Amino acid sequence: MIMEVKRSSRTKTAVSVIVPFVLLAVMIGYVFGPGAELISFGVVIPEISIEKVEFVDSEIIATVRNTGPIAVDIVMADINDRIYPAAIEPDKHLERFESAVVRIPFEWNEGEPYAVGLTIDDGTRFEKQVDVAAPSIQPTVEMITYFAIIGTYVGIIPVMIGLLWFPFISKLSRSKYKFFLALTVGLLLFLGISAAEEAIEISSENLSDVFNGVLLVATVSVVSFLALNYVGEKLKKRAGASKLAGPVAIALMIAIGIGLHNFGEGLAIGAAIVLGEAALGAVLIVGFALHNTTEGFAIAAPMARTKLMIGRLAAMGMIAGVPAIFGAWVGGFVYSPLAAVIFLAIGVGAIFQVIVLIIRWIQNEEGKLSNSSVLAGIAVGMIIMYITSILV
Amino acid sequence: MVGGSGGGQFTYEFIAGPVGVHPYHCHVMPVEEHIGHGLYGVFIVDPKDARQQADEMVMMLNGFDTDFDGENNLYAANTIPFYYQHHPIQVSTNELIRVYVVNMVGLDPINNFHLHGTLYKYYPTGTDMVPSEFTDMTTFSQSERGILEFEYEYTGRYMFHAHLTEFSEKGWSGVFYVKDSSHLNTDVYDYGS
Repeated sequence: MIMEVKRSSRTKTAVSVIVPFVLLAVMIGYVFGPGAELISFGVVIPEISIEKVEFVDSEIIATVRNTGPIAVDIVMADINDRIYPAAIEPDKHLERFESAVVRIPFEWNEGEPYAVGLTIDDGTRFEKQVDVAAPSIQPTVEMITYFAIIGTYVGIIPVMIGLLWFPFISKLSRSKYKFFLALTVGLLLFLGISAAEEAIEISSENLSDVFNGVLLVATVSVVSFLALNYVGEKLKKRAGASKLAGPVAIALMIAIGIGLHNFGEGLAIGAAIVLGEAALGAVLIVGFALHNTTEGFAIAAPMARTKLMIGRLAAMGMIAGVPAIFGAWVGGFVYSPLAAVIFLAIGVGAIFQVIVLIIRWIQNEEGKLSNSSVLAGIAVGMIIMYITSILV
Repeated sequence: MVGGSGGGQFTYEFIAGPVGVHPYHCHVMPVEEHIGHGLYGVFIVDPKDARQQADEMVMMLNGFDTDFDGENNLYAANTIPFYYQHHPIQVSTNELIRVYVVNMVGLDPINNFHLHGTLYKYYPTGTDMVPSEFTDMTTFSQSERGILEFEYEYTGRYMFHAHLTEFSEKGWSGVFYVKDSSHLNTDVYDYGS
């Protein structure tokens, strides 16, 4: 008897969940479905996005996606606004969100700028400007190694060097230590803002409007912030109530946040090298390397009140640094603006989550945030980051 | 000038003249946009004493602004870009070829015609029986036109195209495929009879 009651109440719940959906589907079918004439105003504007341009032997290859509201046909290709014979694979008809590869035989010159244009069946032309033509990089063993070495220089080594501040921080007086913790907040605040800026920039330059770049960054950042909050809490609980747990968990969260951020840096370097912007690539490497020593510091600071655990510290350095290598690989071999924006936005959420953790920790330890050494620390942290960022 | 909201039909009657090659076009505003999308045509007024027998053809030079940005995207001789490049015009050696060229490109102030492999006599507007030039290059302002007469001595493939190279790379270029007259299929050239 009781079972039956339970079952029937469950069915009732299920029905009450489903009914609104059914009604919504009926309404949408009625308004937009076949034969519906209610919404027949306005003009639909087709749109395509040239997502990637590659330069190979005697050929320019453009990857195009239909990012508009209706199906289109690609009918013509041009280089620098001059029409060329071209092939399209698998075919010229693109349904919504479908993509194709356009191959244009062309004797391009390394280092020259090229504009690749595609015209669709209604006569509208879409263009992608490439500032510097460079042969597209193939994932050979040498290139994989090369990017791994660059990632090591940018990510791992500077972070490890930064960790060497550990003994210095651990000997500081209470108020000075507070200053350095706050300094970490400043560093991270700057990183978070810069990662958000970078993500929005990539989305506005390379992503079609359908992806709503800024909202994509906001959504992914917030979700990542919430998810990492959850994970962080679990981590703390699991580590037990020991005094060690707090600082180590915070350092780990910082390392993860910085790792995601460094993935973004790796992406930028890999992409710059692929795009043939050697000067930019070199500047990025030097700049990020200097910049990243401060990240090592950020990891070391919260752990400075605990016993020195070289193994753990080094592991955290790796967590923070190694993603730079993956970033360089992804940026170099399979550059996708959408993936880059998502990774950077995850990094933004991670960094802000870490900021909240450290602030809470300072509050727990010291009570007040408006303390002058805390305020000075945050300010100095941001200023240091700004100055080192000029080098990038 | 006559205007209408479309679908109508009317008949023009006029006494043909003067002798030559002339364009006609839509005069409803916006004229430039209508011309930029092909609302025009050509008519030829032959002299009472017929011109010399020749392999005759009309080349209407077009510019098309397909995306309404005020600049032509495509150029062509007789509407289809690159058509004569992929479908060469077959002519024969030592036969007079007469081309009625009419420049209907709008938006760009000038256009031109350049011929490879031989030179032609040029009759501006086709109104005089005496050529004004013997050349391989003629510049046309908007709606300027004329008659070209030439022969090929040797077989081969010879380009004709705009020497405004931008236009030639956007469709206004073609090829004369000159064959030996001994192999000529005369039916092919039996135009208008």
